[in-house]
Amino acid sequence: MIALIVDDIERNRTLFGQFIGTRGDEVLLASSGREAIEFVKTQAVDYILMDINMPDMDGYEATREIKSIHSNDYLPIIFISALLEEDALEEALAAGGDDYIAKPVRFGVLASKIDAHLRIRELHKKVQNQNKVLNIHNLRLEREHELIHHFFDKSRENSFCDEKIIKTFSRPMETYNGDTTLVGRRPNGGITILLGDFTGHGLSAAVGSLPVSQIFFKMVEDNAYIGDIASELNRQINILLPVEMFFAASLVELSSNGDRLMMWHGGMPNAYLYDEKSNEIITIESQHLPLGVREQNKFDDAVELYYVNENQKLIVMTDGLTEAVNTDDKMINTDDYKEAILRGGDAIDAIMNCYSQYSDGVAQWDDLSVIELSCAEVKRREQVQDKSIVDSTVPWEFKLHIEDQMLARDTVHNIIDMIGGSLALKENKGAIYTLLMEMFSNALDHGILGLDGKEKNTNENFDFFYKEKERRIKELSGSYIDVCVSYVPDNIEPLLKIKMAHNGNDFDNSASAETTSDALHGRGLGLIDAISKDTLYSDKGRCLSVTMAI
Amino acid sequence: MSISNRYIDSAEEYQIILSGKFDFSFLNEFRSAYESAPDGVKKYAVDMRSVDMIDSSALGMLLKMKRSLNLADGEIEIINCSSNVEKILKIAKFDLIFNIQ
Repeated sequence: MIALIVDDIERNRTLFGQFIGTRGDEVLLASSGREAIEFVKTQAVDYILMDINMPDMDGYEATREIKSIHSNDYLPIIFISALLEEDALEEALAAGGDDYIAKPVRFGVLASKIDAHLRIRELHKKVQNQNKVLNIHNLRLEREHELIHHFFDKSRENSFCDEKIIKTFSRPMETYNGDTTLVGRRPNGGITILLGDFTGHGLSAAVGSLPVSQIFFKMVEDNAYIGDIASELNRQINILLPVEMFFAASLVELSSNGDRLMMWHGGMPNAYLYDEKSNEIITIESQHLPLGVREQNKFDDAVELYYVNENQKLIVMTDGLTEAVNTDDKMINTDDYKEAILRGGDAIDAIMNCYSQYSDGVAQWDDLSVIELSCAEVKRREQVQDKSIVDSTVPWEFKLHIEDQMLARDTVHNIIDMIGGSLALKENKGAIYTLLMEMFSNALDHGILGLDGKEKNTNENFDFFYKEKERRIKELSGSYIDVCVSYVPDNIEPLLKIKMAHNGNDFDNSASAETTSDALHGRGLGLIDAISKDTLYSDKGRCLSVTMAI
Repeated sequence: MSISNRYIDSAEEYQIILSGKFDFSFLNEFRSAYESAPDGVKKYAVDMRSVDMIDSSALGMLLKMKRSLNLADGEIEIINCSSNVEKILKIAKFDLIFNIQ
């Protein structure tokens, strides 16, 4: 240890210096307050013995200065003076002094005081080091929280929001939400919603929402059915999460025109289907266990189906709302929410008002969420058409010569796979497929195989037709179909030309049979006419060229 | 292509859910899907939610379903069609005999 003795009288400095020396501590000697400050600034000092009355700068002022330099650590200053008045003691402590000993000094007492203050100094150092570690830890935690928030925000980013159709509200109990609300718009129209509640709350409950949202949005993008989504979520939760963790959830699917509402409802509070016009309300109880409870082979993917209209809305909530307690620790009657909805208006507002009134300031003890879905039409996503696409300016041509048994192959699917990558054709893929399919089956079935479409007209023959077709293809020899697809770029009206020629029977298109709408065959030619801009038969009907506007 | 089916008790509705390319190679699968409908079905729905392409043989299969089950016009609903599929169904005037949603 290093001691600093501050005294203007040399005899005192020597006396105390000798005493300190016997303790085995090093000694620094200062003859004034100013000198003491210099030492403190330039040397390591562990404790100070301070005289009060000194010329130049007295002990009080020197102490104030030294304490301001060492504001972050504990450098004990013990006053030594003959002054024994209360005032002196008070001023010494007010200036920042830590202790006081009166002259004549009893060295035993001084030694004990020094030891006591050095123990505090040690303790202070230890606490400070621990604080440093804690600070680093806190910083890291903060960074991690930011990262986790980023994950959660990103994982829910895809949610579809149109206030007129879907309203959601969620209030977590802590920073992280164990409730999950996901809304996806299916590419082919209609929306799919998931409202769920993981066991517990906080971060441990919220982590489950990451895999759930990934699976949900992926499957919605594939237009998946809610029964299948529920089943896949059950499987993944079983695999990923510990046994004690499960996921009470409602999966809701509204068909594209808004007239069919389907629901897989597992382990959740009652949901309500409310008709604003007739003021009627249907209570929907959970049909299933929560997700992640049943083993996959026992999982039940059955859904409820309701035929709905635009006056109806579905309200689903999590148990944070239905298990709200009041000041007497009594749980709310869920019919209160039903009554609140029946009073009309915004259902979420009605429910939250009902909750606030009932809980009357009692702290929230679980995450709470509610959704309100209006049964309206949600159109399919419009595909963005980008006319400036690069390859639309490049003309191309594509030829295929297909012989005999190769004709049994999935030719049209293959052609579609090959040209479907062309950006210009992407949006018309479905129509091009139908066109190619009709042209190809006409050429093959009637031209090469000599099958009569009328054979398809009864149920039995319909099957027979396809069996016979397979048989005849196996016997082919020297037959072929030539396919030529070409793309003609144009700023105003780009065209796709398809030519299909075969070496089979001729065909009189003018005599093509009138078909009734109910016939099982003969629809192909009508489809070709309707899809293409113009059609041209040549080589006695063995070659058909069509042009389609892209 | 995959075909699955579901019976929804509460509504007595039988749904056939199709995905992928709907063509004659699924003839038998499609038939067994509608033939395995339980007794007491009040409503049939063919869910086209993830069918991207159809041709006239698919139309034929739909007609065959209607005829086999002996259902009147509009009794089978075709739901969640993509724009491609809806276009082809309308060109073929199938909206006259099916309820296309």
